[in-house]
Amino acid sequence: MKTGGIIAVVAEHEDGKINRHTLEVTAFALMAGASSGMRTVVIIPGNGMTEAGRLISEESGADVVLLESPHLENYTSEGYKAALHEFLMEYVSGIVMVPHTQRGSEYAPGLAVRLGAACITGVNGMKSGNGMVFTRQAFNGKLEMQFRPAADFAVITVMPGAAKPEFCSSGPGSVAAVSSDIELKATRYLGVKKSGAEDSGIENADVIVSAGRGIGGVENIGLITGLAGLFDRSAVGCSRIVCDRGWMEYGRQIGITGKTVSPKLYIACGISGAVQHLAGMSGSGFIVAVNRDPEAPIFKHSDVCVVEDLNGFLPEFIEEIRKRRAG
Amino acid sequence: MDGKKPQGRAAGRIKVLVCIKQVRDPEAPLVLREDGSVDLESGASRFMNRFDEFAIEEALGMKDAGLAECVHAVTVGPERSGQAIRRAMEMGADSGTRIDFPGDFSSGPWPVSGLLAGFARKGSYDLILTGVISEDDMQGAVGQMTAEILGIPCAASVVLAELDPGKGTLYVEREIESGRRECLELALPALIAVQSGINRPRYPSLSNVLRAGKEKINTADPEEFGIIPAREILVGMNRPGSTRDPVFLDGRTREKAARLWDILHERSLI
Ligand SMILES: Cc1cc2nc3c(=O)[nH]c(=O)nc-3n(C[C@H](O)[C@H](O)[C@H](O)COP(=O)(O)OP(=O)(O)OC[C@H]3O[C@@H](n4cnc5c(N)ncnc54)[C@H](O)[C@@H]3O)c2cc1C
Repeated sequence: MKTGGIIAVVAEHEDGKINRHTLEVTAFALMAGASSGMRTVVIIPGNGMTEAGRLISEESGADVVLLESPHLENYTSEGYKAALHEFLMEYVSGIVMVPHTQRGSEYAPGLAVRLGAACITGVNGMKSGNGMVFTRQAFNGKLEMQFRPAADFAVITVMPGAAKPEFCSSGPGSVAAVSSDIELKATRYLGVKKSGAEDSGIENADVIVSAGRGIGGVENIGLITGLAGLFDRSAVGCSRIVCDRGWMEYGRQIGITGKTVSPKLYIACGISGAVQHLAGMSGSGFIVAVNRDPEAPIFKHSDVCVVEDLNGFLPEFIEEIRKRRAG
Repeated sequence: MDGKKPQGRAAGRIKVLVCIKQVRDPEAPLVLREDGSVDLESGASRFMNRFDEFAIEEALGMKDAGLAECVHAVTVGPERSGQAIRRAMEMGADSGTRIDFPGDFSSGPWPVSGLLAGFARKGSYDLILTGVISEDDMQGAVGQMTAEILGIPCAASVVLAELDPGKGTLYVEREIESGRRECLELALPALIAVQSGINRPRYPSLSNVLRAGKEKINTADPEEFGIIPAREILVGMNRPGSTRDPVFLDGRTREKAARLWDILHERSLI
């Protein structure tokens, strides 16, 4: 017999600890649950996660299910999809909320297929009322779109920052263990490797001048290092594309798959402001963006916006600094 | 995979499919109409999704190394998206097919994944590659959904892929947060969604441009594969708000430079 609807948060964890992003998604789910009357459950796929389960049930007040199998000790897309599908099939409907991380965004779409579910990735907000509507950004953050799931199940991946991890629980939720008898048939897990990027020390800089694709080529990197050289305790950083093209080394990449920085001043030069880049620098104290596209999404997340071509503006600004300092 | 052991293949007999998409230039202005709809058709240049270029290059590298027998490119889209297929052939893909479907950004990932899976099934490919995300929709879902519809394993954000045809396996490293890598072995047939930086995509060679110019782009009827309807309904669009209080500097270049000095100086940032 299947039971009713459920809002299921799938926890992400490392070294036995549940990450902050999962707490945010749990808070987001509890808000959705409060407005829809659906019960929220935090599912922790893993092995030996009892202590972490107890902690999150106490902090959030949500009920917790430990979905256990030796094959879930390490994350694999195949293992997560199989175990979550098996568990969720017991319900008639549901909204599965997955942290939008490198892991979550890998298995969530496949899980949606198994459940015949709507699939909405990169969700950053929600509206409820006449059914639930989820918002996500597209076109590099130039457009926000609202989607309504049109299936019994929906699998959504939730961006960091969609909700504050704050709870007003009236006591701990229940913790139940369910064992899963999945097998890995086509995937062999071989471990996690550390980043090969050398340490560039950019995490400790007070000022970061950062180059994006708009810099145009390795021959213009001198403008970035030249500007950075005029500040104390400064460093140069860059977007992923700049590393991919070999214009700077990977140790300087800022964003989710690179470094997370929060200098006092961040100067983004020819960077469009993709979410994956913003994730690594939006905590900066003061942000200046230079970009020739007045609609560039980076401007929405900056304090000062300079709509200019870098090749014209940077030499002018370097000259201005020299002049003011001299006189 | 039905629990079967991976089947070995003779090196050089691997069939590879690359799924690509034509995207609208993300730098082109976006016009939101009064009625809340958006004009995505007019006034913007289009090109192959840059993440897909890495997928093509990865496949061509396998062919160059004598591991793969052929590399086919496929896209789901309207007539204009045939240009992306042409580009893939200019880079070196052996053939290209466009599945004629609006592939509208509002349709969500289901219809496109269903069509790609249907096409892949007919061609019995050993390896399917996609880009990790498309630059316009930014859903990052179609690759993984295509794999799941086919019932084959997949990995996303792949930054290293090594094919072992004899064993019938693919070794992959996928990038996770902070540049760390998860290492896995997948049994073929498999799908990987590749991340930028996995290789350096080549420019089309003159001989390939000439060859591609002569070859025709196959057009496939979506009905042949069965269309899976969208399961997400677009109910509205708007421009996202700002997270800070942005001040746009005006004046000429020199005036902006001077103003920027003043602002930074006032805040003791310079
Ligand atoms: C899973 C995943 C993880 C990722 N991780 C990261 C990450 O950690 N860090 C990261 O940065 N990216 C990451 N990315 C890539 C990200 O999505 C973007 O592709 C990337 O950040 C874009 O870099 P960009 O802003 O330099 O280039 P673009 O987006 O191409 O932007 C270039 C900008 O330069 C402007 N410009 C061009 N010429 C000039 C000129 N002459 N003068 C002034 N302005 C000019 C343009 O208007 C444009 O806004 C990731 C992507 C995925 C899918």
